[in-house]
Parts: sequence; structure tokens; C-alpha cells
Amino acid sequence: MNINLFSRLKLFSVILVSLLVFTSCSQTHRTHSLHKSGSSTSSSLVHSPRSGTANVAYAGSLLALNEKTLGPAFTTNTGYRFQGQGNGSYALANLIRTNQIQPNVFESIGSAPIQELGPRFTKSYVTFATSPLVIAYNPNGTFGPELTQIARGKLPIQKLFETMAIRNFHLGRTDPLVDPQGQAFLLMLELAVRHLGISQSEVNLIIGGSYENQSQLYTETSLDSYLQSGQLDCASAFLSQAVQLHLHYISLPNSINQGDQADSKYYSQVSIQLTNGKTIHGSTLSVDATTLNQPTESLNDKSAAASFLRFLTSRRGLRYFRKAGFQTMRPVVHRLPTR
Amino acid sequence: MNGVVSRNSRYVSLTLYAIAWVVVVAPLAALIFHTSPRAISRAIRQPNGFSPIEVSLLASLIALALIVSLGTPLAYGLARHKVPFSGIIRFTLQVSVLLPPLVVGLLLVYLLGPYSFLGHLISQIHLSATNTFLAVVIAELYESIPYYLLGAEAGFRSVDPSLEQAAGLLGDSPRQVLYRITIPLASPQLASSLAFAWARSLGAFGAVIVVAYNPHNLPMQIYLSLQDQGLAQSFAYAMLFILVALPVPLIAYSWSARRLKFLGDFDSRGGTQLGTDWGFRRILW
Repeated sequence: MNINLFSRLKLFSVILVSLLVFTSCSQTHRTHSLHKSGSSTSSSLVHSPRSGTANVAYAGSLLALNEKTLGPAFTTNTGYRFQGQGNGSYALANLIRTNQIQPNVFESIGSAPIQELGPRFTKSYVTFATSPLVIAYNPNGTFGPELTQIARGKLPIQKLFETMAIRNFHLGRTDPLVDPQGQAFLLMLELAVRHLGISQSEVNLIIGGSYENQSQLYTETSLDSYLQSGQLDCASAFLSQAVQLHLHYISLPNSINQGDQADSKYYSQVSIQLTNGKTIHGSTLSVDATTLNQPTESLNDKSAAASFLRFLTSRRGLRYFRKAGFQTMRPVVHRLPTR
Repeated sequence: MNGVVSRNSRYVSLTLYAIAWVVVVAPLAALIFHTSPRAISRAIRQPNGFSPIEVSLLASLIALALIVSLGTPLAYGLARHKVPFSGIIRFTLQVSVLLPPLVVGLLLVYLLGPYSFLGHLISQIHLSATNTFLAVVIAELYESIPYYLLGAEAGFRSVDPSLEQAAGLLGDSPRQVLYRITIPLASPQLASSLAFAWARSLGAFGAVIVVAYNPHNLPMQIYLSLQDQGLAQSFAYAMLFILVALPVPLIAYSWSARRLKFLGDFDSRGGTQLGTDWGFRRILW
């Protein structure tokens, strides 16, 4: 009995020791490779590596730009580390507010999620780009030829709304309750009623009778998957998304695409009322960013966050945004009310 | 001396068990600590607040019924080599388990999307496998069926074939052998596999988020509550999820444990070696 127990304990100790050895080996290997990668990049660095991390929470539609372009370029240029995480802007705001995540920079589509965090986490934010709404479409679907004609300007934009209102047309959009893009699509339809002469009944047909029509709602990721696999005729998208994912898309006039800062007063004339009781007012689909106060973060991390915001709004940073399909502007700083 | 060593060893074992237990249940403790009954009641009382529970329960029950009726014969056939190309089938099943649920969802888009061949067929009977209750069932089915199949196959494989042969020699038809010997002996493992499939099905999220954003099942509601209303509300649904999910695994495991104990007692009395009619009758449910 005792021998049995001893042999079991011996076996357990062997496993434990092996695990510890394995973990320490992998740790050493990781540290070693980190040093290696650090030294290999340092040869091409303008600045040598510094301690401090820009921990960036960004809107889902900014994922590719942050991870592939901005993050690496920021590290190369400043020597600070970059760490990113993407999600819906409102979801991120919720996670930050409840301390589930502790980023020190927040990039959002629309300023509303940032405003939810003031004044505890931030006192100001900067607007530096806009992200116009477009309609991405499937060129090989039943309505492909017609949509292609509209995209090429051979048919008037009103024809797009007529086509979307056809019974068998498969439209996809994101949930307006949780996603700014879903809200922007509905606001776009309201703007089209005002500025393009689209009738309200046509809008009702397009959305299937309800803002939250279940059959049309997808998450942002699955929406793109459905469109790219040819299972939808068209879907709402930001211009940047369409460019990055190489989607076919129809540009919308500035008066309804919510991407032109000069037209912001027109955008604010429309609003939608959602079932959760929230009223969403039209505004420019801006890209906004702010640094966040995290009581536990180090001074080095604070410097990294400030440096990231400066990099984002620098000429170089704005060029990356333009390349990714955003429309950039001179950065404007907004102060949040101090409650 | 020997007694002291034995006592010390017991303390070490108990400490290790305690550490393992704390590590495993720590997230559950955090959930209980951070969920208020008021948040749960608010979650249920909001408009359509109960609907995710209904959707999850009903969809998982249907998925489970399909899994058992499709999976049990296939698992039996695989275990007893009564299925052609069983090696290939088992290999593909193992690959299916390896596929991340999100990928399963993305592949289902191709299979069942509105413009796919199957999607078109389904639409002929005025159904759709996108953003519907049917889509939830299909996504849950695909996420959980491989787990049941592999578990059930192992269960059937664990049954000693000589017992089935002996029953046959005593005059039982193949169907009687299956129902009186094979299934009862494999039942503890079948029950565990079923409980596992239930948990996987009820907790299905990766495939569901792609093909069935609506109607929301419980994991989807947890995710959306986090996005829309914050952590307190999503924890409330997480707690409801546990309350809804727990009964089936609990029943299955306790039944399975009792059954194993009975079979163990039976085996230690030499019942399985008797090869008598009495011995086989005792295996019955």
C-alpha cells in the first residue's frame, strides 16, 4: 500500500520536476529569442529599445492597421513596445470602465465610447481621421451585375436602394445595439431619405421592417465571411475595411456616408431610436484616440502611451491611415466635460 | 515508522488535491462572488430576458437527440469494425475535434449559407440555416457531435466481446445482445460522453457567432451583454448558464458512477466469468 503510494508520489515528483524544467527551458528560450529579436531589430531601429509598453485597445475595424502597420512602425520608431487588442468600440469602453482590461491608449470609431470613460480615465481625446461608410457587395451574386454598374457610376445611386429593397435580396449589417457600424448604416438610410429622396417605405423594405431585424444582423467578422463566400448580396462596411479586405464596394455620396467632417451638421439632423431606449444621433464617423489614466501603470508605460498618441497623429501615422482607406484631417483635440 | 511515512504521504496527497481543486474552481468562485441575485433577476425581467435560456435549452436538447440517434449507431459500428473504411472515418472525426469552433462556423457558411446548394434546398421548404433557430441547432450539433462519437466508441470498445459471444451462444439474437449486454456495459461511458456533448452543445459559441447571431443562445447573450450592458449583466447570464447546464452532467455522472460501482461489484464476484444466463440477466438496466 505504502510502496504503491510512494511510487505514485515518485511519479508525481518526476512529472513536476519535468514540467518545471520544461517551463524554465521554454522561458529561457523565450527570453533568449526576445533578446535575439530585440537585437536584430535594433540594428534597423532609429531608437534603441526602451522599457515601456503602449497597451492599445482599438476598434475591431482598426485591427489590421494597428497590428500590421502602426504597431511595428511605432516600435521601430520609438523603441517602445506595442501590445494591442481589438473589439467593438462600445465593448472596449465597457471592459475598460469595469477594469477588466487596462489599456493605456484607446482608439475608437466615433467619440461616444471615449466620452463614456471621462473624466475618470481621460479628460480629452483627439480626432484625426474619418471612416466613410460604403456598401460592399458580391459581384458574382444574382444582383452582382447591377451592383457593379452602380459602383461604376453607370446607374444612379438611388438604384442601390431600389435593389436592396427587392424581396430576395440578401443584405447583411451589424447589430446597431452594440456596433457603431450598425448604427451608421441605419443613420445612412435616414440621411438617404432626406438627401436622396428615398422613401421611408423603401427604407422599411430594406431593413425588413425593423432596425433589429434578426435575419440581417451579423457580427463584423462573420459579415465579411458571408460576403466573401458569396452568401450575401451586399453588406455595410467602412471604406477602410473594404480596402483592406479587397472587397468590391459602392461609394456613397458625402451627404450620407458620414465620412466628411464638413457635412457634420447635416449628419446631426437625423437620429434613430433603438429598442434598448438609446437614441443615436448622426455624426461624422471619426477615428478618435486618447490616452487612459491607469493608476497602476508605470511612468515608462505612461510615456509609451503618450508617444503612441503622438505617433498616431504625426504625418507618418496619418499617412498609414490614408493608405488603409481612411480620410485624414488635421488632428483636433476635444476636452471632455469635468463632472 | 511506516505509519508516520504513510500519514505524511497522505498529507502531501491531500495538499496536492486541495491545490488542484482551488486552481480548477477559482473562476467559478470569482463568478459566484461577483454575481448579485439582483443582476440575475434584472437579466430575466428585461424584455426577452428569458429567451436565451429557452433557445439554449431547446436547441441543445434537439442537438443532443440528433447526436444520440446519429452518433450511437456510428460509434457502435466503428467500435465493432462493422463500418467500411472505419480507419478513415475515425481519422476524420479526430480532425473534426481538432478544428476550432470558429472555423467550423466559417465552413458552415459555405455549406448552408443562403446561396449554397444546401441553403437553397432548405429555403425551398421556407427554412433558413442562417440567423435562425435551425442555425443554432446545426451549429451546436457540429460543435459537439465528435466528442460524443469518440467517447461512445471508446465505451463500446471497452465491452468484452467474449460476453457478447457467450450471450449469442445462449440464444440471444444480435439485437438482444446489443440491448442486454453491449449497451448496459457501455452505458457508464455513454452517459459521460452524453454529458460532455451536452456541455459542449450548450456552451457552443465559436460556430454560433458566425452562423446564428440571432436568436441569441446563452453564450451569445453573455457576450452581447458584456458589450452592451457591462460585466454585471454578463455575469448574471453566466450564472444562469451554470444553473441550466449543470443538471444533465450531474445526473449523468452520478448515474454513471453508480453503474460503474455495480459493474465493479459484479465483476469482483466473478459474475462476468460465470457465463451463465443468471450472470447476463444481472447486467440488465
